[in-house]
Amino acid sequence: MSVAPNLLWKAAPLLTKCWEDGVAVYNLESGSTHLLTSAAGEILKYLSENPAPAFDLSIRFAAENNLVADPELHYNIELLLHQLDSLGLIEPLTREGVSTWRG
Amino acid sequence: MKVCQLGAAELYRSLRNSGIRIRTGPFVCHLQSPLPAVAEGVETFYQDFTCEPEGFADFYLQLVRPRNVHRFWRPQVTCYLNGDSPFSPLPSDQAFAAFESLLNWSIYKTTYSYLIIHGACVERNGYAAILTAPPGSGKSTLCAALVSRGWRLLTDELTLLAPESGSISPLARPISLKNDAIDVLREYAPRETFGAKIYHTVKGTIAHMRPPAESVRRMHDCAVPGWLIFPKYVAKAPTKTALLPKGQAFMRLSSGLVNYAVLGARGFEALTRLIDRANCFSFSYSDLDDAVAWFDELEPPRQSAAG
Repeated sequence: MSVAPNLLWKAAPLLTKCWEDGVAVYNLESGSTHLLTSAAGEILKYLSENPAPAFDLSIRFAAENNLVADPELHYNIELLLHQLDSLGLIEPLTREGVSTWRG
Repeated sequence: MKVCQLGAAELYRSLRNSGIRIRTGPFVCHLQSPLPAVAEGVETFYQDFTCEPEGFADFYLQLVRPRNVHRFWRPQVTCYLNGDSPFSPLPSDQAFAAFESLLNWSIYKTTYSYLIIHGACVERNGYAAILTAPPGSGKSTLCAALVSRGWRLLTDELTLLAPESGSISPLARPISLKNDAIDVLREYAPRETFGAKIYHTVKGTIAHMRPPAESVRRMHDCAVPGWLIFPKYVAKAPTKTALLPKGQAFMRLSSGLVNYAVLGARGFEALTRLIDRANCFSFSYSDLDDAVAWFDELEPPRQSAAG
């Protein structure tokens, strides 16, 4: 799986609560509730601060977790972004801020 | 004035005519019914409840015999909430159970000031143990056993969590026991008052246990969440418990909420605060003495204070 490198992701308006076994997330727009892995919670936190592309997210995630930002990590981050997108917790933007993913 | 102070004759007359206002926790319910089964149930199970004078009521409930052909050979009861009838008519020998269901329904449908957890709740030393699980898991059985051994009844069915303060408001009412649990509890707690069995309800056979007078008297004393417990009755199995991680407890609890979607962000924040405060356990049992002993040994959670 690969996405356009210029694709920016942004988080939906969310409330979150972190516990040892995961992150509870409440979507303020849809009213849906989820329990996510701590990695997914961390990516959501980055995207709540600023929209970012998958590559930048991989670099930051690697740096903050003492990992190597290799292609495998990047692949897993992209996979995670698609899952978060399918849950309606994030949405893609172009660099110009225009939504292109869902038409 | 308590319901029992009305006297049986006045109670029956009032119920038949203008109705009475019964306070149940934060709610006042206006009840009017000419049916003897309803009056008998109120007399037996609500004797210690406060009967409010004229004024506002949160719910206006009416249980009457429908004027259909069934009344000649199979009498029925029709329930009204604020003038609307939410259920199909039921056999009239289920009239008191119908009243209890109607009152639950009224609270489910019209209450937005509390997060409502579908589950029983008991209290000791200011801390509440919430028992929540799918129907048929043995919540009411466990609740009745604990109440008969000194725990205060907060509720058997609907736990009311105040979103802002995080405290639990009592809603002590008759405990509804089902099927085999009825005889088990009659034997386990012979000093408690039980009603007659009501057969062929949608939940099977039902009998009610009267809430202790002390629990009714302390209907305004809120409690701090101490423990969140997911009980399950497993026949002939030993008592088994496991500390549940908070995230798992959160997801299990969120599926047992009545009005979470309506409360939105307030509901989420109330729920996460509850999970933070409470120690969470899965709990399977068959022996009531063992189960009560385990509850009696529960340590209050850290980083929270009763009051």
